[in-house]
Amino acid sequence: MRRLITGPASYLADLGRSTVRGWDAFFFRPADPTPVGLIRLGLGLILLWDFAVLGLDLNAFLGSAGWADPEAVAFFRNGAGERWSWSLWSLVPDSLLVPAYAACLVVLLLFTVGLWSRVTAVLAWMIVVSTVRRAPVIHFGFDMAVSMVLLYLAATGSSGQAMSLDRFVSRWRRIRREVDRSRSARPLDGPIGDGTPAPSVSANLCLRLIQLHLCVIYGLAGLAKLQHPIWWEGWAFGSLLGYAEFRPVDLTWLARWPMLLMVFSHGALWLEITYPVLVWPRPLRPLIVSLTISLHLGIAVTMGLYEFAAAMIVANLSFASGPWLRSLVAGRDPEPLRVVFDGASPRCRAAVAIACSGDPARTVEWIDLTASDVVAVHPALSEERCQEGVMAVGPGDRIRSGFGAVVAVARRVPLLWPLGLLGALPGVAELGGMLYNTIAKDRPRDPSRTGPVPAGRRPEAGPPPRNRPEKPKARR
Amino acid sequence: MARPESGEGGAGWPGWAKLGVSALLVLHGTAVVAAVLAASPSSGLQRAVADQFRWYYQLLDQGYTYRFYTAGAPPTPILFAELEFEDGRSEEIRVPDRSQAPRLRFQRHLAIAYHLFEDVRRAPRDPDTGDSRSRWAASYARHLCREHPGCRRVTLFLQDHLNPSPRELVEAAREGRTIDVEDPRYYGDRLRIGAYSCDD
Repeated sequence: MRRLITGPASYLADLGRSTVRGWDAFFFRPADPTPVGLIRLGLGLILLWDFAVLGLDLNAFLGSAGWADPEAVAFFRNGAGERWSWSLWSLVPDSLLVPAYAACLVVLLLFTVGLWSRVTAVLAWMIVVSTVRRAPVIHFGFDMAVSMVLLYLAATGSSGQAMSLDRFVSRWRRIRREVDRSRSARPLDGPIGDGTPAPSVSANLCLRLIQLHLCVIYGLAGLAKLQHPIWWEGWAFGSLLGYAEFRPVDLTWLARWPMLLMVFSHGALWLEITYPVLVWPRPLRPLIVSLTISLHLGIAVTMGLYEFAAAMIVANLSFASGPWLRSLVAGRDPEPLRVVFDGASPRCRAAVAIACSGDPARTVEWIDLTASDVVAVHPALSEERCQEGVMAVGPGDRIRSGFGAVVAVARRVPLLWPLGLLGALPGVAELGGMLYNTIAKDRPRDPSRTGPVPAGRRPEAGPPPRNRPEKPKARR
Repeated sequence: MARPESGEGGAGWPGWAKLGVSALLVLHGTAVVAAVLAASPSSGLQRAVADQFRWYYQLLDQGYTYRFYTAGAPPTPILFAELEFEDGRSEEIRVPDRSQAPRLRFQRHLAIAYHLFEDVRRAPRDPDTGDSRSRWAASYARHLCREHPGCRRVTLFLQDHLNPSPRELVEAAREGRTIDVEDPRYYGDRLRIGAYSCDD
C-alpha cells in the first residue's frame, strides 16, 4: 500500500528533476555563435533587398496617401482593439519619409555587417515590425518568417558574436595592442586566442528559439494540410504548376509524369509533418535540413517566392554546425601561409593587425622579420630581401613577395576576398605592385625595434603546432 | 594552450537569470503555439487561450498561424480599378501588374489584392447599391485618386484568376498541348466592390 503512494511520488520527483536537467541543457548550454552570425548576415542581406524594393513604392506603401492610409489603418486597429499595436512610421510625416527610409537602410546595413549589433538588431526588428503595422496590406508569409528570426536575434543580443564587424573591431584592438607591444618572432601566437568565437548561452537561446519555431511552423502547417483531400490525393504540387499569377516559369511539362507530381506532393507533406521529430537526431539532421532547403528552392521556382524561400533557408541554418560552417570558409585543414613582415614598420604592423583580425581561422602565420631568422622560415629568404617587401611562403615552397604576397593573404582572409579575387587580374596586379612598392619604399621604421632581439626569441624552424582551424564536429 | 576568445564572461548563467528567462520562454512558447492552434477549425478552448495573448501578438508581431497553401493553390484575386478622368478619358489598372519588377514588388502588390479580397469577404454590403463597405477599398480608391491627378472617380472590381486543375494539366501534357492560363475561361466573374468619387 505504501509503495502505491511512494512509487508514483518518486516517479514524479524523478521526472521533475530530469525535466529541469534537460531544460537546462537544452536552453542554457553555451553554443557556437557562428550559425547565429551567418543567419544575421543572410537575413540582413534579404532585408536590405526588401527595403530597396520597398523604396520603389515608398509613398504608395508608407505615405499618408498610400494604399493603406492612416485613417483606414486606425479604423482596423481600433476595431480590433489593438491597444498594443505600434509602428514608428506613424510618427513620420510625409515630408520626412525619405530621410527616415534612408536611416532605415543605414540601420539595416549596420545590422547586416554586424556593427553595434546588439542595438542595430533591435532597431532592425523595430523597423520590420513598424513597416508591417503601417502597411498591413503588403504583408505576406515572407514578413512572418523575417519577423520571427529577427525577434530572436534582437531579443538574445547574440547576432554579433560571430561573423561581425563588432567582433572584427574587438579582435583588431587586441591584435593591434599585442603586435605593437611585443617583439617576438610570432607575436600573434597565443595572446589573442585561437580565433574561434566563444560559445555563449545567448547564442544557444537564439538558435534554440529559431529551431523550435521552425518545428512549430513546419509541423503545424503539415498537420493542417491533412484536412484537405488534395494533399492525400497527391495533386497539391500539380496545382501549383498552373498557378498563373505566381509561377515565374512554365513547368506544366512536368505534368507528363503525374506520379512524379505525387511524389513531390506526398514528400513535401510528410517532410513538414515529420520535421519537428526527425530534425533532432544528429545523423538525420543534414538530410532533413537539405530536403527542407530543396523544398524551399522548389517553392521559389514554382511560385516565384524567392525572398520567402531565402528567409526560410536562412532560418534553417540554425541547425548547422558552427565548425562545419567555418570549415566552408577556411577549408578543413589548410596548409598555413607563412608571412614575414617588418615588425619595425608601424604601417606593416597596422596592416598585419587588420589582416589577422579578419582571419579568425588563423590560416596565416605572421612572422616578425626583426625578431626571427628568416632562413629558418625558408632557405631562399634573406633579411635584405624581406626588408624590401612582405614575403609569403606557402603552400609548399612557393614564395610570393610584395603585392603578390598581399594578394595571397587576401585570398585567405574572408574580409579581403575582393582584393584576393581582383588582385591577380592583369592591370590590377601591375597597378597594385606599383602602389605597394611606393608605400613600402618610404615606410617609416621604429629604431627601437631594429636592434638585436633578446635571447630566446629567435624562432624555431617549422610551423608552430597551434592556431589551426579545428576540424568540423557536430555542434553540441 | 590557446585561450578562447572572451564571450559573455563565463560559461553559465546564474540561477535567477535562468529562472527569469525560463519564464519568458514558457510565455513565448505558449503564445506561439496557442496562435497556431487557434486557427480554424479549432475548439473554443484553443481560441480562448489564444485570446489571452492578443496583447503579446500585437506587441511583438507574433500570433501567425503559418497555414501556407493548406488547400493547394487557390484562385488568385486580382484587383481591377477603372479610373474616370475629368477630361472624359478612362484607364484600367490591374493590381498586381505583371510587368512589375523585381519579383518582390509584384508579390507586395499581389498582397494588396489578397488583402482587399479578405476584407470584402468580411465587410457588409450596402443594401441599396450592393457595393461593399470595405474600408480598405475606400483607402485604395483614395490612393488611386491621389496617384492620378485629374481622376474624378474610381470603380474597384475583384476578379479571380483561376488555375487549371492538375488533371487538366496532366491531360494536356499527355496530348502535347499547352494550357493558356490567360484564356478568359480561367478568369471568374468580375465582382464590383464599389465606386468612389475623388471629391470625397
